[in-house]
Amino acid sequence: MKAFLALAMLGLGAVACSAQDARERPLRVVTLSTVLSEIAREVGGDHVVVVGLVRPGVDPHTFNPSPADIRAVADADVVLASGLSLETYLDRLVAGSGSNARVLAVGDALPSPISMPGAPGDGEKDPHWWHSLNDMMLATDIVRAEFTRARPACAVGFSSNARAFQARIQSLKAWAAGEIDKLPPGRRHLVTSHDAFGYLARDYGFEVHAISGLSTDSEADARHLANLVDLVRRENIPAVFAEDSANPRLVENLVRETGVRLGATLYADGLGPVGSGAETYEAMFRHNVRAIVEALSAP
Amino acid sequence: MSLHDLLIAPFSYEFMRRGLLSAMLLGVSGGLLGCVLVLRRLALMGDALSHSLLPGVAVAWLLFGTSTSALFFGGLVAGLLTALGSALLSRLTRVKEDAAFGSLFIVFFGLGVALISKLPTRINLADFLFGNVLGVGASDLRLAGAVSAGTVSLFAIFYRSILLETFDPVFHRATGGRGGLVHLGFLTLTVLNLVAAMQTMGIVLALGLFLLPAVSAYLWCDRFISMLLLSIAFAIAGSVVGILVSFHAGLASGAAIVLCLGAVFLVSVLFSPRYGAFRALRLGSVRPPAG
Repeated sequence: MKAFLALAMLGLGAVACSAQDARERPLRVVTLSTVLSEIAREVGGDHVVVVGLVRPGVDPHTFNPSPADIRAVADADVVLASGLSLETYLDRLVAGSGSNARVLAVGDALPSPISMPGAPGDGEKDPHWWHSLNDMMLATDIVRAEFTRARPACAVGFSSNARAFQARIQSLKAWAAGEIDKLPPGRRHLVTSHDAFGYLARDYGFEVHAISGLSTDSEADARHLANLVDLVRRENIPAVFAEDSANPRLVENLVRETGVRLGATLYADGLGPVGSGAETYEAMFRHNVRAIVEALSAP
Repeated sequence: MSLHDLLIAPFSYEFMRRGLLSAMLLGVSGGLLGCVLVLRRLALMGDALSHSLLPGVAVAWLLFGTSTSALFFGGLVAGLLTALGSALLSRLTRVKEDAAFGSLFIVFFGLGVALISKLPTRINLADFLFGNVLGVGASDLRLAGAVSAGTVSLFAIFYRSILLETFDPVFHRATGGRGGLVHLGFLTLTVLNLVAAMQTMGIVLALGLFLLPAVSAYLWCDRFISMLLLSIAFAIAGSVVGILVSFHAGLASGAAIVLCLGAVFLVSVLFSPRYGAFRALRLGSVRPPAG
């Protein structure tokens, strides 16, 4: 019944919007992350045209915009970025393109980003917010508000689309909680290539032990790697994880040294390419949760 | 902290032993090759070479994906084309070798950047091109061992030719030496070592191991053989101390080794009794740049 209502509202919204707004061209949205592309498409529906500059499998920490990308930004009405300093090139990209687009750093608008310990003053924030389903729902609202500001006539359509997407994330949340409940608390250690799963860890009580820092760019040191070897042995951690867009060499050495299992590759910095089984947000999240639960619950 | 904790305990980890071993193996061959590079004024070759590998790696990636050996051969081919190409150009045309090298490498680098912008996903190739000394695996170690052993044996076999070609190429040729061949062989060996070193240990450490021990040794020695041996000794000592510093101070390992080698260079260039800066200042004899 609930689903039926949501569907009915979706239809109503779309009709209402297109009737009032038939003459307006679709909103041109450029995104800098595969996850934001999906949010924009889900919320915007037919009233937006989404161009994703960072394609699946590309490392967003070291992304390098091409002239075609700069042209896309120049033509955009709205630019969506992950924010929290993930896109260090963002200001230069927008300024260089001469674009008048509104730039929305979605992560910067989230209420409770994770602060990194040891950072002085304002502090560095963890930019990988899409690994929290709650933050994903909040981000959907932030994008909806931005689209509504740009196309007030479509407000009803945008909110019903956003609610439908949030309902799907809500059911994903129920599923994920059930899966992760299968893991005893003592087994909730995530050893990964770089520090990308802080939000997942916060939501589900994991401890993250990353080989390199928040960016895939930072190089590990010997002391740190030795501490990880000790930790894996001491805590009897059953598995460690490599990531799709990070170099697997150090993780492989950890596996060789400790004999720990290598879990399925996690999608840390965005969605996977077509055919990877992680090409949508929900598929990506399911893949990660399944990979983690399966590898860490092994005897 | 006991001496055992300081020096022995860090090497109870396999990744530390592997990393140190690969740095030492390629430090030995790099220390040898570096001496000839310094004496023949090809010191900047390594730097240029690291850029010229890009198109080879990009093509290998397009054809074979991320297989380590394919990327190695891709880089090797591109590096050889640059090094041997500039050696040939300098012999066939008016252009000198350093200018030929500078021109070729930047063309190759441009080609690499162009190829990468056409790759289906703009994956970070640098990640695959450059390794990390802590990530050295069994196959990397075999590669380092083979390259190092090959280099040392070729040096031993052709020692006389290399010596003559380095110090007096005109005399070498006049006495019937195959100077061109020795030079090309030497360049091939350098490319092979550099590509192996960059892929197993990363670009910073590879270039540091090739240059710093040799320049430092150059400041202490007058005889070629003692320069070779001191260069190897510096490379090995720097690797051991550097990886220990990385372990105890929590510094990136490649950079820590290079900084230790850099300290040796700094001390040498300041305090070398015969060729150091302080001696020159004390005697008031600032020499004109050797030409």
